[in-house]
Amino acid sequence: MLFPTIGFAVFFAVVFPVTWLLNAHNTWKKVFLVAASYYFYAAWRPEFTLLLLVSSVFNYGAAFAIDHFKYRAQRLTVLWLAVAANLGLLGYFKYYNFFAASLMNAFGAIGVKVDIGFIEVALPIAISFLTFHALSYIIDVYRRVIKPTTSLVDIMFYIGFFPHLIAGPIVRANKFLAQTTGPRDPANIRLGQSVFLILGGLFKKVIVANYLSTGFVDGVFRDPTANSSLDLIFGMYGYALEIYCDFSAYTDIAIGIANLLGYEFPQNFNYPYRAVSVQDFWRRWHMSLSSWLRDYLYIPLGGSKFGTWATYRNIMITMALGGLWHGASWAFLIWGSLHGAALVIERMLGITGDHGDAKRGRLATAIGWVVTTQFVCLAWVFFRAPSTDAWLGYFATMFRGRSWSTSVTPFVAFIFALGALSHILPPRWFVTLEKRYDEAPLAVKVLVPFVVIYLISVAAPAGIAPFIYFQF
Amino acid sequence: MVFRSGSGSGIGDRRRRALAAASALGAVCLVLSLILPLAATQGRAATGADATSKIRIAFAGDSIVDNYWSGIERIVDADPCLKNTMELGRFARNGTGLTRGDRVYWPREIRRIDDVFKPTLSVVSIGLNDRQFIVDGNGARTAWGAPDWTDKYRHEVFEFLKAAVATKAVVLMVGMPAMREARDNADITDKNAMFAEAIAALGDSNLHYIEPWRLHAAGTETFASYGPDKSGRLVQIRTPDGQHFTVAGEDLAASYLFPKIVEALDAAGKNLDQCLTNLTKQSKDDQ
Repeated sequence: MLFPTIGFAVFFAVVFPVTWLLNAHNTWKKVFLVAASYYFYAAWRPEFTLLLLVSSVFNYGAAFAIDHFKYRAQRLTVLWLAVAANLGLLGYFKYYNFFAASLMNAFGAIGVKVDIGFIEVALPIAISFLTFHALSYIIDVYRRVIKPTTSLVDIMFYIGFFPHLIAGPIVRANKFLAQTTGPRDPANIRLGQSVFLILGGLFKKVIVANYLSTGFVDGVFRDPTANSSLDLIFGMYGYALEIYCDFSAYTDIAIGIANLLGYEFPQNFNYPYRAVSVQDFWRRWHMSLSSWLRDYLYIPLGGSKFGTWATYRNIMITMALGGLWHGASWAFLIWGSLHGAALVIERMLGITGDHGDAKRGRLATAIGWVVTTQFVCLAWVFFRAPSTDAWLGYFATMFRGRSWSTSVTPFVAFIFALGALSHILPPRWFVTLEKRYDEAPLAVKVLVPFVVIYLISVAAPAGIAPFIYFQF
Repeated sequence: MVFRSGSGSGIGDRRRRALAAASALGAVCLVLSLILPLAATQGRAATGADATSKIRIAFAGDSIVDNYWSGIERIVDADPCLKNTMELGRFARNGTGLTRGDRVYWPREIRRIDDVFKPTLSVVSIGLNDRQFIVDGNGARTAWGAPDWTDKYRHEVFEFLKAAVATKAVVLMVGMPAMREARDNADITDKNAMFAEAIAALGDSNLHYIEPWRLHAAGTETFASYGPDKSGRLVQIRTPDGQHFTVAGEDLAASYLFPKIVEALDAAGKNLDQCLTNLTKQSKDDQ
């Protein structure tokens, strides 16, 4: 079930009032939301709801086992077993075929024929997000950040809650479970903000991302060598805007929907293409993933505690695995490693600043922005190109300077401009808009979403395009 | 909050001016977006007129035909002779089929494609999304699983194929390839058989059924998400949905389909020998 569909609208039209009707009966409300979330997931493949259930029950039990032991070594052993089980499941579904093919190709290259076979099973949608939520819970229990919850429903609710289930944001166990202890206060609903997050998300996804994708970017990446250098440059920037508008749209809608149901999700994007360093970029892009990687991978590896080279190594490992988390391909590994290398180089050069860094002059900030943006956009080519041949062909054609004609139509240019506005318009404009919406009469409050959704549906391209991050 | 994730405060004069400037910019963009596509359409119409002598190949059907279009386009783009000789038209409509005439009624759609593109040959594949209730061209519904569902679907297949041959283009109806799920496989096997039977029954010399692409040359074809590419390296050839092709898979399917297209064009008197000589020479050089 995709957010921008009639099916989801009907689903939410039932879930929203029932949730608030049950608000005084917290346990029943959670049971209802778990059932709704499982239904939401089952709309894709019913049999994989079993995976959700097994993951929830297993990690519920694992948390108790971790907490049960007094000594750190015992707790650590149980934690490792639980982590291995979670990652094993992820590895089986997502990475087995990739590693099998890589191994067979490696042996094939030296003339040894090895056949270890492939597994043909469907990849459960959102398994990477599901695994990271589960790991967050058991690691927080191990660290004594939280006590294991006695309620299985709470864990099922945390892991399976439908707004974040498919593509995040990655919600920390301690932050979410604290919200499940009692009825939610309807006064905490920020109606204007939630409505505009949802409407803005729909606009970014359905209009900007979909038109950029179908109108230009897909064509450029389909056969890079058949395009002019200028089109490949535009394609690179186009994809940068597309993936931002696609992914941030999903999390905006998720945050808005969760808030309408009374729950808070963390911010996931903060004008990432305004970043003035790669470090700054990762404080603004997929913030819930980057902070997850920092807290559950980089810091356990030793962080920056064991000297310069160990820090560089830890950064590289974290970013390479972060890249691989996105998908089972060498391109994702290269993409993550490139970001890791950039972060290491910035550390070597002492560049760690952001816009608020008083030591940096305006010129240095401007240069930082230009360099960071170009690096991030170039790296996206690895993320989008389907194979090594594809990205090699992309860069070879782009840098060869073959033909400077362009197939960008005025309409595509207009969509580019709309995408760019996502980083140009100041946030306070929207705060004002939300405030006015909150103060408006009920009729206006009802009318605005209907009119905006109608206009978006009229202007939308045909068909339903899934969100890019669904595959992760 | 349409675009951002930050926070801010109240409205001042400077902001009002900025708001006015942005509104003006928005208005200009809106006007441009209305005017410029018209100009672009005129430009494209002129280009289209220049290209009338080209062999036009339409790719019509559901999302899997987009895979075929994509792979064939790379073959054509890679060869200047083919590029000057052929023009490919992309007319796939994702999520559609022969069951939901209320969304896209394909007998009408194939005639529309003929009107706007005038194809010499059409590559068609359809049926991926047809495991559902049928709404025919008149809006009448037949429930999925109803006793007359298969007869009704067979009727829709005939209507579509009749409309396709009426266009005077050569039509290659490509069967659907093996799918990962047993349920999908049973479904496409039935539908492929239905298409082959309907085409045989119609007996039109311009209408051909093309057996689906197979990874394995012989034996029972089973779904494989990984397979050898042209160089023999194992690569992912099918997408995680267990239905579509990855780019590498598109290339494999296209290298199977392209000779069928050439053969059908040849039979229709559209000879590509000049380009094929170049292609053969080039592939020998590559080896």
